[in-house]
Amino acid sequence: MPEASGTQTPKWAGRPDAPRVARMSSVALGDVALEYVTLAFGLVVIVLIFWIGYGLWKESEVSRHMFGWRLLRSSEWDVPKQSYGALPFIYGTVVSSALGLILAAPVAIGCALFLTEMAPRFLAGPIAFLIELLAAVPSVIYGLWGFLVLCPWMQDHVNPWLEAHFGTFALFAGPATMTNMLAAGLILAIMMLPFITSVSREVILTVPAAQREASLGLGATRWETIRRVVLAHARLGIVGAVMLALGRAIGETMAVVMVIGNNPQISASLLQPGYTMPALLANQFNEAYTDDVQRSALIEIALILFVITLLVTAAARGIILLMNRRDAASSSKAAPLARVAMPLLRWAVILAFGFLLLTQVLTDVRRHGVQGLFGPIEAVVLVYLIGASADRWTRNTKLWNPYRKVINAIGHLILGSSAFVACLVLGLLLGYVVAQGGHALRLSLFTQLPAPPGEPGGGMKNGILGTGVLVGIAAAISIPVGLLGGIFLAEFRTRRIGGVIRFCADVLNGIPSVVIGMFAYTAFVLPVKHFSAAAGGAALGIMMIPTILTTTQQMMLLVPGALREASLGLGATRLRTTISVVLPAARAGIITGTLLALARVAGETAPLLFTAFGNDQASIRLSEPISSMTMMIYRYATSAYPDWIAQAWAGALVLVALVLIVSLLARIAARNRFALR
Amino acid sequence: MIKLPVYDHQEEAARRLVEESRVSRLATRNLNFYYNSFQALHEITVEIPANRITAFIGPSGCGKTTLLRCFNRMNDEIPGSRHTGEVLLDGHDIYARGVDPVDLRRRVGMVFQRPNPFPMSIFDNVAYGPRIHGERKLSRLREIVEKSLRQAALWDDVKDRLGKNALELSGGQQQRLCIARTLAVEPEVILMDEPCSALDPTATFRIEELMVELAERYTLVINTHNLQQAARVAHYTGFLLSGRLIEFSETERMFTQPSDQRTEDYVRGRFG
Repeated sequence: MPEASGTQTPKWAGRPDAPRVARMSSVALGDVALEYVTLAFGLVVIVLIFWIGYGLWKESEVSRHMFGWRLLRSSEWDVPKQSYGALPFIYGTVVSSALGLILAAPVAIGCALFLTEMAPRFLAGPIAFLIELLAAVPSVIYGLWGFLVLCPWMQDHVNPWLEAHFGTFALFAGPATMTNMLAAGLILAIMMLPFITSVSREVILTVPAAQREASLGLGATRWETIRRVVLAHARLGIVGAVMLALGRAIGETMAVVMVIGNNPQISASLLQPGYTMPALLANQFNEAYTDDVQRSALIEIALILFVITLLVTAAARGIILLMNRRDAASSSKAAPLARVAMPLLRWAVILAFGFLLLTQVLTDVRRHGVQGLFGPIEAVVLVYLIGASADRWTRNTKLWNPYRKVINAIGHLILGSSAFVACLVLGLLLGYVVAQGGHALRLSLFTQLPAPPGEPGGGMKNGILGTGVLVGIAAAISIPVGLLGGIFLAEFRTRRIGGVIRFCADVLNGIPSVVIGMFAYTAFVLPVKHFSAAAGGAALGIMMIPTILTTTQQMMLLVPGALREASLGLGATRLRTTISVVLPAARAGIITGTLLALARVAGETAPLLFTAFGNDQASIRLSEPISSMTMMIYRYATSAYPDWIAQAWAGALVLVALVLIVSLLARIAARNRFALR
Repeated sequence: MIKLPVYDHQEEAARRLVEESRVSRLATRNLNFYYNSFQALHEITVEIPANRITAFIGPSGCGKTTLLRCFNRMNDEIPGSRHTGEVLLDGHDIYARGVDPVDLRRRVGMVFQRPNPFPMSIFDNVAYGPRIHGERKLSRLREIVEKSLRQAALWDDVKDRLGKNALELSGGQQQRLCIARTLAVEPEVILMDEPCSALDPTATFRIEELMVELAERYTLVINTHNLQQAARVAHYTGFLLSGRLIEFSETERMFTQPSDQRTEDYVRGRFG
C-alpha cells in the first residue's frame, strides 16, 4: 500500500534476522504494481473510445466544412458533382433495422420461452446449441445465403403475392425488385434471431424455479405463469438483448450490402431497393481513398454511425434504468410516465392496425363486392375480435376456466410455432451451406491461389493464410489488454474508474465493426498511405478487447470471495492470490470467452475492406495488404462466375466448420470448469 | 421422556375425532414415486382427515417433500418423475386421465419452504390468484386482499403500505404473505412444506398460531423437521423414513407411545 512508505523504518530493517513485518513494504510493491499495471491496460479502453471519436472527427473535416448540416438533410449522393447527402442512407438504416427487429423479436422471445418453459430436455439442449452456433456464424454467410437463395425465392414466390394482395398499400407497392428493403429486413431478422434467442434464454433461465412453482401452485396455467411471472422477471434482460440486437442491426454491413439493392432512394415500399450507411461504406470506400472529398464524406458517415451507436447504448441504459425505477415503485402506484405511456402505446398500435385492416377490408369489398368479406384477412379480423371479446363475456361464468385453457393451448401453440419457424429458417441456412459447400469443397481450396476471374479452378490459400495472420495479430493485441484490464475490474472493485471502464467497454462492444474499420483506416492506413495486414489485425484486435475484458471480469467475479480470503488470510499478497488462486479458478471460462471472441473476428469482413484490403498472393507480411476468407467469400458470392460462387459456398462451409469446432472446444472447456467445482 | 408443550385444543380434538370418526379428505393408496430410476416413495397408504392439521416428520431426504408435492401434482414439473398407485381427493384419483393440475391446484394450495413472493407489490401478490381466476373488479379484489391478509395475521403490519414491493418485508412477513396469497384463491386443502424452516423463533410462533386458526376452516398438511412443531400444532403425525411411512397416528400417541422402535428412536432424538 502507498501509505506504507510514509511510516518510519525500524532500526532492524534490512538485517537478515529482521522480523518478517519489515518486508511489508517490498511485498506491497508487487500489489501496487498489479493495481497500476492492470489499471493502465484498463484505461486503454477509455483511450480507444476517445481516439475513435477524435480520429473520425478529424478526418471528416473536409466534408464537415463543405457540407455542414446539409449532409444530413440532402438526399443527393452524386460523386462526379461532389454533392453528398446522407438522408437515404440514414432512412435505409433505420427502416431495415426496425423491420428486422419487428420481425425477429417476437419469434426469438417465443423461441427462447419454448426452450426454457416447454421443450423436453432432449429437444431443448440440441436446439439451444444449434442456435448458439448460428449466433456465431459470420454475417457474410447470412449475406451469401440471402443473396443466392432467399432473394431469388422471394422474387419468385412472395413478392408477386404481396404485390397482388397488398399492392394498394404504399408499403408493398410494386414493381418488386429482387434485392430490396424487405429482403434486408428479413436477413437482419434472421441474423438477430439466434442472438436475441440465446441471450433471452440465458436471462429466462435465471428466473428462480420457486417463482414458477408459486404461480402454478396458485392454479395458474403455464401460459399465465409465463406471461405474468417469467416475463415480468426477465423483462429487463430481454429488453437489453433486443437493444443490443438493434445496435448490431444498425451497424450490420455484409449481410445487408448483398441483399438491399444499394440504391440511394427514399421509398415507402419495402419491395423497392434501398441503401444503408454501412453498405455505402463497404461499397464506395475502395474507389474513394484517392478522392479527398468523397473519403471525407464517407468518414463523416462513419462518424454519424458512431454517434447513433452511442445513442442506442445510452438509450438501452436509460430504458433499463427507467424500468428498474418502475419495478422499485409498486405497480399499483406505477411511475406516471409508464402509466400514461403504456396504454397510449397500446391504443396507438391497435388504432394503426385497425385502420390498416379496415382499409384493406373496404378495398376487398369494393373490388369483389360482398364476396370480398370472406377473404383471409377478414377471417383473421373476425377470429381476433371473437378472441378479444371472449375475455370479457366468459369472466365470472362457468366458461372462464375452459377459456383460460384454450388461451393456454393457443399460447403453447404460438411458442411452439415460433421455435419451429426459427429452427426451420436457421436449419435451411445451415443446410444450404452444408449441401452447396460440401458439393464444391475441394482440396485445392486450401492449397491453391485464386485463378484469374472467369477461369475455373484455383483456391483460397491466400484467404486462409490471411485469416490466420489477422486473427493472430488481433489475439496478440487484445488478449493482454482484455485480460489485464479485466483483472483490474474484478480485483479492484472499489476503484470508481472501474465503472467508467465498464461503460466504455460496453460502448466499444456496441460500435459497429464497419466503424472500427474506418477508424483503423484513419489511424493506421492514412498516415502511411498503405493498406496492411497490421492495420486489419489492429481493427480486429480492437473489436476483441471488450469481449475478453468482460469475460475475464465476469469469470473472475464468479470465483468465490472466500477463496481469495483463504489465500490472503494465509499471508499471501494480492498479486500472489490473483496469479495462483483466482486466475486458475477462472481459467476455463476465460479461455472459452477468448475462443468465442476469436471465432467471431475470424468471420469479420467489413473492417478488413478498408484496412487489409485483400491480396491475390499468399502474403504473410504485416506491412503488405492481405486477404481473408470472408473478403473472398464476399467477392466471389457477388461475382458472375459459377465457379467462384461455388467456391464461396465452400469457403462458407469451412468458416461454419471453424465456428462449430470452436464452439465445441468452448463447451468442453466449460464442462471442465464445472467438473472442477 | 421429553415434556412437550401441547395446545389445549388438541386433546379435545383428538377425543372428538375418535367419537366422530372423521371423513378423510386426501388419501393415498400404494403410492410409489420415482425420480428416473431412484424410488423416492414406497407403497405409501395414508388418510388425511378433513379440517385437521396433519404433520409429516422424518429426517432430511426421507420423501416428505415428494409426498407433499404429490398432493397437488407439483411433481409434474420435475422431468423424469413418475408414480404408481393412487392419490385421492374426496375419493377421486387426482392423477386420473382428464384431471387438469391447474384445477387441482386451485383446490389444493401450497406454501413453500422458502418464502417466494413475486417481485410485485403486496397487493398484487395477494391479488395474483383471484385475478387469474377471473376477478377484475378492484373493489372486490380489495375485499379479498384484506380478508386474506387478516386471516394470515399480516393485515395490521402492512395495511398502510400495500403498494410497497413485497420483497421489502421481513422473512416471517413474507411467509405470511405467501400464506395470504394461498388463502386468497380459497383452496380446500393447504399444503405447507417446512414453512418455518427459514424463519426465526418469533416468526415461527406466529405462523404456528396461524396454522391452528386456519385448521378450523381448512385441511392442513405440513412437513416439518422440527419435532416440537409437530407436537405443538398437529392433530395427526406421520413418520417417514427412507421413503416409507413407518407410522401414522394421533400426534399425542406418536410422541408418547410410538408402536415402532424406529419411531421411538427418532422422536427421542436417537437418530436423524
